[in-house]
Amino acid sequence: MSTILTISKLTHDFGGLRAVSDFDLHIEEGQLIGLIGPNGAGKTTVFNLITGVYRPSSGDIRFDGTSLVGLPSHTIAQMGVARTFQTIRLYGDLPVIDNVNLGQHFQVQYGLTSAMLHLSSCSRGEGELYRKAMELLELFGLAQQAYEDAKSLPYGQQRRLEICRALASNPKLLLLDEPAAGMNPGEVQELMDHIVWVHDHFKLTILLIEHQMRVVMGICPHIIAMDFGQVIARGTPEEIQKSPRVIEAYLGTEETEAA
Amino acid sequence: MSLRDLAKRIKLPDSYDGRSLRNIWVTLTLVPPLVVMALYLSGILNSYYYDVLMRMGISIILAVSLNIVNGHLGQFSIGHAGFMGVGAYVAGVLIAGGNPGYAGVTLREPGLLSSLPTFNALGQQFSLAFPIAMLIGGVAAAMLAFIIGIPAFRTRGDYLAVVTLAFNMIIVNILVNMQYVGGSRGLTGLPGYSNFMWVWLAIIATVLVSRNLITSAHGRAILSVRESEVAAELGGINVRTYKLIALSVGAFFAGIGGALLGFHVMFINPSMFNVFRSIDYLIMIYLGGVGSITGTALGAVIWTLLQEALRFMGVWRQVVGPILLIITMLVWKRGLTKGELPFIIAKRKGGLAVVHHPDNQ
Repeated sequence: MSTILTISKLTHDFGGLRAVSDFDLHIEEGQLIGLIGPNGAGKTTVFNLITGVYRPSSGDIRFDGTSLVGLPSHTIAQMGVARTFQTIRLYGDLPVIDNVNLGQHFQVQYGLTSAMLHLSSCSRGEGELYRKAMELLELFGLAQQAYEDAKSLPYGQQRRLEICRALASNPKLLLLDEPAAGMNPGEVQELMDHIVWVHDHFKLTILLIEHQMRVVMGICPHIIAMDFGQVIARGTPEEIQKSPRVIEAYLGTEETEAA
Repeated sequence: MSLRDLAKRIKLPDSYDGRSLRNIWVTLTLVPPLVVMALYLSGILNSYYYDVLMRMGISIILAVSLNIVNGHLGQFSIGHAGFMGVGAYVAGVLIAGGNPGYAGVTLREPGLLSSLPTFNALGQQFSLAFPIAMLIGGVAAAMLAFIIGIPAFRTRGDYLAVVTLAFNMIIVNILVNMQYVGGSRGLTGLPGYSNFMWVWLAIIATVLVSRNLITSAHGRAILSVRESEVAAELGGINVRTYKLIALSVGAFFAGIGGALLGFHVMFINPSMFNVFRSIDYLIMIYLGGVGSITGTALGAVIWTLLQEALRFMGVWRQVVGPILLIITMLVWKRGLTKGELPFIIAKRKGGLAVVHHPDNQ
């Protein structure tokens, strides 16, 4: 196994607020890692730093041996880092299948002229894209809805479509930002089973953000806990559950409880 | 037969299915302009109606091309007439030449393309120079769009509206102060090379390219910018490039439309391409249904006809028209076609998916 992502001494400030501070992370190929922490801990900021939404104040992010710092987001995505969003961001007015096709957009072979004149390379290319997208949708149980607008899908399916779109880009690393947000316990369980399935089936490396601890406990063999932009604990789910700093972050100390 | 049935019937099986489609396009390309020209030459269509038809056609080109930016890309461009002016002036100078002397001196140097052969047919003067000048005018407009797009798209947000508005005003002011192209009097005495055949060809080209683009992966990327810029960028789509592509393609056809107008009315001056004209095109696309090629073309037709029909009102036309627009927008939020009409070209929703839908294969 080789290291796929190395984050070292990552720090990011929003004005005077230090959102992420000296964050270190090593992800080996094929791992499924959970990143937990209470709201405002800086989890999503870490994702935004990895995917180039923000430029880190200091520190380095290396993906497959290349530094991602300063690269535009679309280049990072093309290198094989796909992500989903805490609040669903689908292309709502486009059909489900086009959402998936846009996931694999940078693999499109034909050029703009071919597109504008609808040359045969365009129709061939499109046929290929549609076939691949349909295969993926079938795996995700969304093939029936392929031609419906993405926004018309129920919430759970929209979440699944978002993961499906991310996978269409054939990523090496998948970042899932609170995929269980807004779901009831039954749906959460289904989603988690699904994520484990995706991890095994596509042999992916996944980094999963979650603020409800119990959600990741069951599926991630390795968990990192954050609070106030810093790593407060790393280890197996059992170790995390016993860590006094994690308990403090989630429940507060006795004094603050009393106060 | 309802309009919807008619639309279904006309809906093309897409280019993957060969010959029948080609025949339809050949017919569509050749028959209407020949009919119009025949009617015009035989005197059945008088020159007033012919003029309205020409303006209507040019408006369709402008509205459909503006829709690429405002409808498909989802950015707001207010300066479409500026690009139109660039196309008109470049084509005008290439053919009719500019005035190198001082104001008031009518001495003109001949245009670069003025020596190309011309011939008469169907009572019209054709010149080889015209399509070439028109294309160069379109390319010039597209290049300018690309250049102003670079700063305008540097950041996310509605900067394009501000930048295009400024661009439109700057272009008009430059033209007013440029004696080489006649200042505020403009270029006069352009040969009447433009006719309905050219306009019709340009409409076909605009609609076809616009529709082909939007039903391809690249057009899908343009639509994704409208739907969610963040998701598109983080999904590996170079958002800025696609914004520049959409703006440039739109400007190219605006430039073509400008050349067609200039050589139809046989003079051009800066006030023909001011912000008010840009607003006319905005009204057309929002009236017809922004995001829909059919809708925007329909909007151009209706608005042109309405402007003529209300001519008896004089200045009040400027009041009644907008009121009608407001009423339309209140009743149908997405314009007259409600973005729903599954017409010849591409439904607003779906794009490619409609074309690739099993029912259409």
